[in-house]
Amino acid sequence: MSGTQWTGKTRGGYLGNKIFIWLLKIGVLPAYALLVFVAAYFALFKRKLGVGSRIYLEKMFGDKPGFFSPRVYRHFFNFGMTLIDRTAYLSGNGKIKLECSDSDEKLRAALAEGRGVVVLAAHIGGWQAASSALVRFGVPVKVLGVDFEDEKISRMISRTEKIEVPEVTDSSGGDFAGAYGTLRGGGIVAMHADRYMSGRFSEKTFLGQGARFPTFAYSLAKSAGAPLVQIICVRTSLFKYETFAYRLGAGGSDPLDDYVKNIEAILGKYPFQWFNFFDFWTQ
Amino acid sequence: MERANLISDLRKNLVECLNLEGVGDDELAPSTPLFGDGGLGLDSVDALEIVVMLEKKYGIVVDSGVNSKEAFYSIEKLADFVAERAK
Repeated sequence: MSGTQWTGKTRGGYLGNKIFIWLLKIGVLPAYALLVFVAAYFALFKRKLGVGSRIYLEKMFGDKPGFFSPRVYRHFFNFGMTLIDRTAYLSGNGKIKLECSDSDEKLRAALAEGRGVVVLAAHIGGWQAASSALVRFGVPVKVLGVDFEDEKISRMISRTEKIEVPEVTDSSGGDFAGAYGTLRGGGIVAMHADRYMSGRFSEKTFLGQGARFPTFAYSLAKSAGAPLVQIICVRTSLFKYETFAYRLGAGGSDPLDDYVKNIEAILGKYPFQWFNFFDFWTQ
Repeated sequence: MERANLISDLRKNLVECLNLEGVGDDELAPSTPLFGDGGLGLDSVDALEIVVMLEKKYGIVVDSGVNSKEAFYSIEKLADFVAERAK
């Protein structure tokens, strides 16, 4: 992750990730203990990575983070913690809890309408662990995304996973008709709707400044007549994550306006769980 | 429908559903790639419009197993797809 462009790769390399996975076999707390120093290293010596964090934190808190900023450190630490928790949760070790009653109820209601559901996520909190909750409804699930992570690292991490997660369909390959077909078959199509990469977009005011948001998901839902449900998964206390779901566009509102407002509201409570470490406002 | 007529019909329907009235014959030839650089440059939202058009005009419901990158590559490939589904 450079300061201004998102590259999609985690830092630490193969060995770094392997060390954390090994520590998780002992427990989550030892992994957190190592993270204390790793997060400090990145906050102090990888300044370029902190550029996106600083831009976001200034908008969030209204003042520019200083050279040695506890907020930037906390932001990095939270990100590392979420990665550790994701791996721990999906390995099935039972330490990390995921509470999905809100999103389960709203997804069931939306699926009952019989037109499939478009689920929108964002790079906030524990979205990767939350994707595991999509497979429990007995309908086809298609997750559209692009995985820029190093293939060797991705394979190493996936070998630890014992909880089923839906496979990610590479959206750069253009499987848009397949997504439509999944909805027509009553299934779930999920994707992130925060990072704009290319194609059509709409600019919305986000944390006080205009930012581009991709609009494909809304066009997909409209074409298929499917409801839109936004799901945000955040760590609400130590070792515990909760998912919150929101029906978008209900009552005739602009679903993208709803999406942005919901993100702002969640970040107001959990500001350090925003994980777009680049200048979000110039993407 | 004969293949030549199908290609012509598809071209007409694509022009209509994607608002391509200003596009010349040479830009939208049967073999012209519809997506990406080097082709017509359609995007993901245009792909959805094509899916809806196939449902409305040809009664073809695109299911989740369709590889749209192949099926929608060009008007010729789209004609192959429609002809196959119409059997």
